[in-house]
Amino acid sequence: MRLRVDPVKCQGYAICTEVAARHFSLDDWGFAQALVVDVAEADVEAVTEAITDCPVRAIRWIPGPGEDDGRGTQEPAG
Amino acid sequence: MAVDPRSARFALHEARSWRGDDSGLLGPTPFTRETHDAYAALGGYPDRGARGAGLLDRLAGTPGMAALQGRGGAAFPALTKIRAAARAAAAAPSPPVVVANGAEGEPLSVKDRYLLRYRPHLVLDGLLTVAAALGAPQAHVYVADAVARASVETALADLAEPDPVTTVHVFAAQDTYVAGEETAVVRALTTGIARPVDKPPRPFQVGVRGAPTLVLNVETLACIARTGLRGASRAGATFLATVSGAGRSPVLYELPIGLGLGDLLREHLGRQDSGLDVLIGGFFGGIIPAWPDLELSHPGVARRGAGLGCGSLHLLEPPACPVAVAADVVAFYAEHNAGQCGMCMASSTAIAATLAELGEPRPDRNYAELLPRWAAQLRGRGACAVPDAIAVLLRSLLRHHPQTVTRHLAAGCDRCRRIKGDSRWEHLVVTLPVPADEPTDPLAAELVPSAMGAR
Repeated sequence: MRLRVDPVKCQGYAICTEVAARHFSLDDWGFAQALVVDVAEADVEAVTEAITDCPVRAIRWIPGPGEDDGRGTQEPAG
Repeated sequence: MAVDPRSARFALHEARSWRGDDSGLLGPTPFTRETHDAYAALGGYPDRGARGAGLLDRLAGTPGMAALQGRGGAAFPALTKIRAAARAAAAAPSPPVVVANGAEGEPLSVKDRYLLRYRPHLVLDGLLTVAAALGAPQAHVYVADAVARASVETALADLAEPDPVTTVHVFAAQDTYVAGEETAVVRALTTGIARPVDKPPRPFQVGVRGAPTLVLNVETLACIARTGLRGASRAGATFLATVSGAGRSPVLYELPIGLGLGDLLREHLGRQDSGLDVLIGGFFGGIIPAWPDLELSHPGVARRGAGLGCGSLHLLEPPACPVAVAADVVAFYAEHNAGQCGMCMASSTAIAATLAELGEPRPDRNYAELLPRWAAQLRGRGACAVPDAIAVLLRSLLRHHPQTVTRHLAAGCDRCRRIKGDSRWEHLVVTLPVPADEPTDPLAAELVPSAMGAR
């Protein structure tokens, strides 16, 4: 699984950068960017907290290339 | 856009194939609307009435099909996309939907409008072939240009009997830059709002009203239909290129994939000028030197750090300044983004302002560090690819015009200084004039918003 910040939702509250500083930072314009898209097992808890604490629910897990998305379909690996 | 479409400077009146040897996409008589009978006489609509998995296998086995890359800009392999939609459809509760995407928001490209206006049956044949292969009961032609839309509606009426598998609907798309992005297409067809949605899911997973949806560019569909015509070569052997700039009237060419840019320049300009740059792939592919040995194919252009995108080439001859043109393009994005993503609105506005300032010397700022930093921050971030387009542009400036950038920082640039802040990008447009005798849809003006920006 990978991390994705939904750019439509993100308003730059920056809570994720405090809760999981190694995984998120603000870009030069004040919006959150995921620094690490493939998250190590040991960091899942901190990242999950960032996801939960985001006031606009902008952060989510997405399937990586070739992974099942739960609907039985995959990202084409082309 | 506040450009007079009849202005000779921007209007495209010429369409031709490369040295007349292959006009499979442009058609035998350019700028003439092809009738149903004329298309059928070429062997058109051979697959009508066929359906199902056998048809998909037959399509997959068509020479060149496996290598055909989508012509909308992203160059995604068409067959991979078709198969992904077929697999998703097999598992989904609702039947799949197929969309012919002819929105063509790129200001420097007219090829999709051209195909829909003058070769509507070639596009419809491709759409019906793919829809039959997927067993899709509903298909849409998504088109912004009013003349193109009228042409497609006439073509549909000309089909003697309704297609046994698929009902085709024509959808009046908004004439905005982002309306043709495929999640915006799906959203417009579902809710009427033509703005992109963050991915995943992609349309092949969750599309129009939740159904697996295959969105293919109209030129991609034309390439597929053409393989069924008499005398056809392999799928995608040629591509349509809107070529403009360098003081020459724009021309729509059908070119063999892999043609050297030098050959095209000799044909188009009558010379192989070494001092030219080219804004390639609409506003998406970057600004690169017009190398004569540049291979005009998606991998060929990608190898040089740029993108062929929708196939357009806008030639820049001195004293055109690549920094000024980059500033123009980013200024366009600052105004014509979807107005949804904070990071896109803020970054495009800030970067446009920064580039526009380079008319004056800026020895205090380290742009050699700043521009790649911004490019890295923008990559893959947006709901659509506008931030990626700006990233490609910034990278192309640094990679291919480092001395020009350095010169701007040290001494400024007269060319950049003279440009007024408003309407920066209006010289970067090609229009397809409305034929005088062409009936247009009187409702079109009401359906299509006059402002290009979605905001």
